[in-house]
Amino acid sequence: MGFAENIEVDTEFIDEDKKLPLVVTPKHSGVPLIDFLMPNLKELEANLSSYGGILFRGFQVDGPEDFESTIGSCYRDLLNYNDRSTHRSQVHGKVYTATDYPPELEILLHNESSYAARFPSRIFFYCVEPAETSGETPIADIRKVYERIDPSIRKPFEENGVLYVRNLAGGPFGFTWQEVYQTQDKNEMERFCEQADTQYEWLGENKVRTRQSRPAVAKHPVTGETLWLNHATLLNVFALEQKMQDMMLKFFKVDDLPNNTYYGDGASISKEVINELKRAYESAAVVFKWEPGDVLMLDNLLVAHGRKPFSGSRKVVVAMANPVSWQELDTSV
Amino acid sequence: MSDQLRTKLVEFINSKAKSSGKTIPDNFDDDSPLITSGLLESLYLLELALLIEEEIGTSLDLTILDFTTEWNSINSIIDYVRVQIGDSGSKFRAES
Repeated sequence: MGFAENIEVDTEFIDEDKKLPLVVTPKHSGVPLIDFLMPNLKELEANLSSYGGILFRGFQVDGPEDFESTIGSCYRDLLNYNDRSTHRSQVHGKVYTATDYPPELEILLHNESSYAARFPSRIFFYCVEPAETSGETPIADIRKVYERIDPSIRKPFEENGVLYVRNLAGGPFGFTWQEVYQTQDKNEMERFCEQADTQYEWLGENKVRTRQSRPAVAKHPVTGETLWLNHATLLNVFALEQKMQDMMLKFFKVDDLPNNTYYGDGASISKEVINELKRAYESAAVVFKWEPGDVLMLDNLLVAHGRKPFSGSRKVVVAMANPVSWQELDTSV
Repeated sequence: MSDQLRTKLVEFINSKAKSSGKTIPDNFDDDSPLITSGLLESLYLLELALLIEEEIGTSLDLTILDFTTEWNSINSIIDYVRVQIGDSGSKFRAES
C-alpha cells in the first residue's frame, strides 16, 4: 500500500478471502488517527473503492469529540441523522449512538439510509466500549451480495425498484413523524417529503403514511460495479425474527405495519424471497470483534453493516459524511 | 386478580429491563412510568400486549390504544385490565 511514510503501519485483511476489511495498524503506539488520515486520505479513498471497508486499529482517538473532530477534518460534510429509520441518540455534535435498538435483537445488514432520497456515502464507526459478549458490526460487500442473489429474484427488483411504506403513527411500535423528520412543524415535514420524493398521506391528526419509491441497484460511481443497494430486506416484515414477525402480523393489518417493503410496482415480496436475500447478505458477511478505540470506515455504497445481539454495555458511535443522492447515481440495469 | 397480574407484570418488566441492559431505579413503584421513562422498550409492548390478552381472554386492538397513558405504569395497566374485564366493549375486536 502506498501510504505516506511519516507513520509506519502494518496492513492485513480480517478476512483474506473476502478482502474485508483492510486493517491498518501503526507500528508504534500513541499515534493520533488524524495524523495518519490527513496525509493518506487519497490513498485510503483508493483502497476504500477497492475493498469497501478499512479498520483503523491501535491509533489514538480520545473519545467521541475527538472522533468527530478527526472525521470532520477529513470529510467536511458530516451529516445530521434525518429521515430516520432507527432510534439514535446524539452523543456529540454529529456523532450518534450506532442504534438504540434492544440488545437481544439482531439488526440485519443494510446500507445506511438507502431508502432516503439522499444518504451518506461514507459512514464511520468508533468503538468506545465493546459489548461483554458479541455485539459485533458485521459487514458485507454488496457487489458480492448482488452476485449471490439468483437473477430471477433480482429481476423484478431491477425492473421496478423497491417501494418503502411506513406508518408514522406515534405510539410504541414505530416512529412519530416528528422523530423521523426531526421537526414539530407539519409544513416543514411536508416540504421535506416533497423535496425528498416521498409521498405522504395524513390518516389522522398525528398519523401519516409515507411511500418512497427507490431503485434497488446502482452502479458504483468510481468502479462502475453493480451494487445491491436497498433496504428491501431490513424493512420487510418477513425479515423480523419469527416471534416479532408473528406479533406484528397479529396486531397490525399489513397496510398499517410501521415499516414494510414491496416491489416498486406495489406487489408483495414473499417470505421466501426475503429469506433468499437474507442468505445472500449472510454469505457475504464478515464478522470481527471490536476492540476499544477501533475506527471502521465504510464506503456506504459498497459495504452493508448490521449489528449482532449483545449483552452488557456497548458503546459504538457513528458519524456519516459525503451525501449522495439517488439522482446522481447510475441506476440503469 | 390484580396481585397475580402485578406479579406477572413485575417479572415481565424485570426481565425486559435486564435484557435491554437497563437498571430499574431504587424508587421504582407501581406508579412509576414505564414507557415515557424509556424503561420499557417500545418493541416489548407487543409481548406485553400478549400477556394482557392472556389475562383478559380476548384480542386487543392496539391501534386505538394510547399506550403512554393507558399502559404507562403497573397501576395503569391493572386499571386498564379491570376496565376491560368489566366492560368488553370498544377496546376489543372480534377474533378474525
